[in-house]
Amino acid sequence: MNFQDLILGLQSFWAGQGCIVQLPFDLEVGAGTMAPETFLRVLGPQPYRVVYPQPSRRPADGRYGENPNRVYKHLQLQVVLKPSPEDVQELYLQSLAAIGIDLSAHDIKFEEDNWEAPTLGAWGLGWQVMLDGLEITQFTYFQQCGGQDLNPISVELTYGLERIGAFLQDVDSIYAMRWNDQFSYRDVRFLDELHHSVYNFEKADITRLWATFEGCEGESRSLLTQFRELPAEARGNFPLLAAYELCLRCSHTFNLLDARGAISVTQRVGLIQRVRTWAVGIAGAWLEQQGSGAPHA
Amino acid sequence: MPERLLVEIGCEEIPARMVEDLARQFAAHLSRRLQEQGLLDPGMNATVAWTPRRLMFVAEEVVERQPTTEEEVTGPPIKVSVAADGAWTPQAVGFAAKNGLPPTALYRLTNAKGEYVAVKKSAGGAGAATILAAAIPAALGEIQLPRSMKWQTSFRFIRPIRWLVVLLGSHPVPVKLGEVASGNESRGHRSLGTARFHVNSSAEYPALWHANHVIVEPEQRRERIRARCAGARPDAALEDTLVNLTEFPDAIKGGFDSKYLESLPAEVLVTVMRDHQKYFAVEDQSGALAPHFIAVINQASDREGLIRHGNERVLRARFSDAEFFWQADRKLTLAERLPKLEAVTFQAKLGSYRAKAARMKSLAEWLAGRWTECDRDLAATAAELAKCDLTCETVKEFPELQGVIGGHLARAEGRPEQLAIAIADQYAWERPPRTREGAVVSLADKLDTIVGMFSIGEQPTGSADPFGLRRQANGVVRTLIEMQWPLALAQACAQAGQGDEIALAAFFRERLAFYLTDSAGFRYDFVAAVLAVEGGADVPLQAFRRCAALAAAPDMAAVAAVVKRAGNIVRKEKWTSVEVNRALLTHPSEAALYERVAGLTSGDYAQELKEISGLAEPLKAFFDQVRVNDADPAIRANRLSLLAWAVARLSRIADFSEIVVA
Repeated sequence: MNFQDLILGLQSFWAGQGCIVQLPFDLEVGAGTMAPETFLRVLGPQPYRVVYPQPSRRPADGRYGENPNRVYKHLQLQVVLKPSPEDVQELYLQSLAAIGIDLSAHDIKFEEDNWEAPTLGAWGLGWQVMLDGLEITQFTYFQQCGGQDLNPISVELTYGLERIGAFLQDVDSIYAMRWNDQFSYRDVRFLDELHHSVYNFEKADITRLWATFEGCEGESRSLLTQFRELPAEARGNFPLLAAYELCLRCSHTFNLLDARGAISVTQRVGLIQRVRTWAVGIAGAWLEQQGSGAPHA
Repeated sequence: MPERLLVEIGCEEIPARMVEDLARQFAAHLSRRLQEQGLLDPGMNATVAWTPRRLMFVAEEVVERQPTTEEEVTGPPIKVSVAADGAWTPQAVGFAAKNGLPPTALYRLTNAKGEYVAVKKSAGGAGAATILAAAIPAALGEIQLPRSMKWQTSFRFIRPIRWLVVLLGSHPVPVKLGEVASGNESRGHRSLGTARFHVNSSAEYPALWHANHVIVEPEQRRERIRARCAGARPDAALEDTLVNLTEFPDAIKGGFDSKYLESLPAEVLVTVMRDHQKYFAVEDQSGALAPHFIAVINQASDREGLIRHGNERVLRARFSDAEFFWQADRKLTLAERLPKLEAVTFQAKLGSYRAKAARMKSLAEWLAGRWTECDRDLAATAAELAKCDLTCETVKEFPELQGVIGGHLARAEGRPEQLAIAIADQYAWERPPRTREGAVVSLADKLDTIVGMFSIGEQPTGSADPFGLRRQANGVVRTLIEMQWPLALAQACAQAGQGDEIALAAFFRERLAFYLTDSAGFRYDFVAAVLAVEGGADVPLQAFRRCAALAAAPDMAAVAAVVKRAGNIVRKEKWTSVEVNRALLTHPSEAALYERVAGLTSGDYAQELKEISGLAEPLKAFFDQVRVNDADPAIRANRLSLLAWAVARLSRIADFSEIVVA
């Protein structure tokens, strides 16, 4: 199965389960969870189902395109089911069958793995799904997000697309995967990895990154303050989504600074706490703004 | 007719490390409740079983209905219960209503105290179904969960509950757990069994589950795993995990390129296999690692070889990654890494690991100077370099190998083997360090951490021990005892830094008591007696030897009783003097007692205890024949001093008042 057919197959399976097929979020994120389609949609009471592939950027994981399995930008396929359906594990296993995995000939295990994202004030319980010893999916029942207790509970499925793709094509390097009949993963992605590794580790301008971090943080915090100062009836169209996106930019800038070795251990703890308080503030404001109504109204 | 009760709580995969405990807790709570309600004979043992997806409870001879009992309840006196017209007063009617009965149930009762109104109240008689409907959710609610979750409603459990089977004989019993209602439909193994199967009767347990490829009995799964993993390096913890991770286990044997046996430290290979992949390592005939692994699968077989192929692929990628890190790490020496520790924080208030390395070095020098046959320079160098591997990629990837990797780096750069061992043994969680220098490094690390944390107020409180200081102190105590090092802790702690001496002494005393009772297996009252001696906890090795001597000594109960009696007298009189005037020992029994105590052996605990046990008689004779409260105040004072002196002299090994006399 070509890499793109894997993506199409999973999207099509979940579309069949009533998921909106969304496009990847168009800002740099470290994980699909950070995209508003997960982070904000799981808040509040409205049912929602969505599937989207999400390039996830982790600057410190870059390996100049030389490591067969580690990349700066890997692809996740993110599924959010809200509320969590009763047969969610069965649906998940059917999705594997849909991409050609014959469960009777393989070994599947659901092994405890509790997920936590301190900067997002989010945690959940669930498993890493192991297929013949390979971790292919994070399966999480979200319990809290943005510091808010969730009700209803959402399930988040995060498929590691490169791992599954290399497994299906039985290749030892993800770069050897066929993307389609003509192009390999290397053809499509190698330069991306190389250029960004050079940038992340060697070229990114630390002073400018700090300026970006502080600029985005300042603007986002100022927005949050303005929101809080507004009377409740005037908060309806306040741009909290913009405040959240600014927060995501900071998060990515933080990761770049980290890859450049520009953040000391003590600074790190302080910054994580700072981003967390702020993300929690936005989540609280968002819930308040949306009230019990529909976030997509 | 009594019937077999079957309860199955069907779940999404419960974490392997918890499922056994949850199943046992549930069974214990449910058994107790059924016994309290009279449904289950207390003599009948219930069967508990589990898989990752189900908690099972089976009890034989559960009765359909509680036995009925009738109880006479006495109410108010008759004079306030019957009105002038002979009718029951509101007070009497209220009494009947309180017992759930109409006024017609009231009758007169005469007892020794007078005449009263009474009712006969029947209790029990509830049907099993009614009781189970309440007892099963209650028993589940009583389970202590490490961390619970919600999935739909507000109901919480360790993982979502998806089905529930409750059968008494062939009768389904209606029970609800959150939104899940019981039925008689269970579920088979995910890929081998029938997705959902019908259970007609509790008698079909366990055969029907087996037919659906669910081996509900953990011990049977264990046997299957053992039988299929022949040649695996024994690993009890891993075996437990796999028993609790599978419903129908089989095993496959895979291989890896033998070049990794040369190019990677064995600990890295084993950590990847055991901790990351849950594989058993395989040894060759000489006991060395072989280029094979055994993986336990939750599947009947690997008929197409795909599972083996997939697992080999994953392992190859992991080894290849590890090899990359390990080769990169060898480009710098440990000494070259030392300055890099400046950037690694040990604790915000205690500074970097570079600062800790300096402290460890000077503490190691001091410690090594207090132990014979210990190479002081080597221990100091090892202590200084012990944390350098924190800057290695391999350690970032495998944090549990910190120290071990440092040892390999030391060896690879041509340092002496003794130095490599001392660095590698710094944690020594599973066995004491192999060498004295290793013990010094391990102690320097742990004492520095413990005293440092105490100095900034981060000592453990209650169940909170975020820095694992108890475990560290356990390691200190164990190393000192098992390596027979008579080090005094108070002095060593003072050398390690400025901590609260009293708090540190109490903390180590508690850890020493834990070691002596839990690890060494001494009687708790012997341990208490030994530690009650002043300064008795300061040198763990001596405390251990005194406990061992007590455990091996002849029965000390008789002497303990009389020493206790003597101690009580001294305490009651608040007598402090131990100056005995021999000229005033007028009675032969007191003179004899004095001679025996003065002549006690010192230093050889076993001999001393043997002699002390022989003092029961002279002490008894003293109490029988000598009157302490003599009319002559000088003699009375001398006798009290004699007792105080004798008690003090007899309490050097152990405070006998702590020994429990049966």
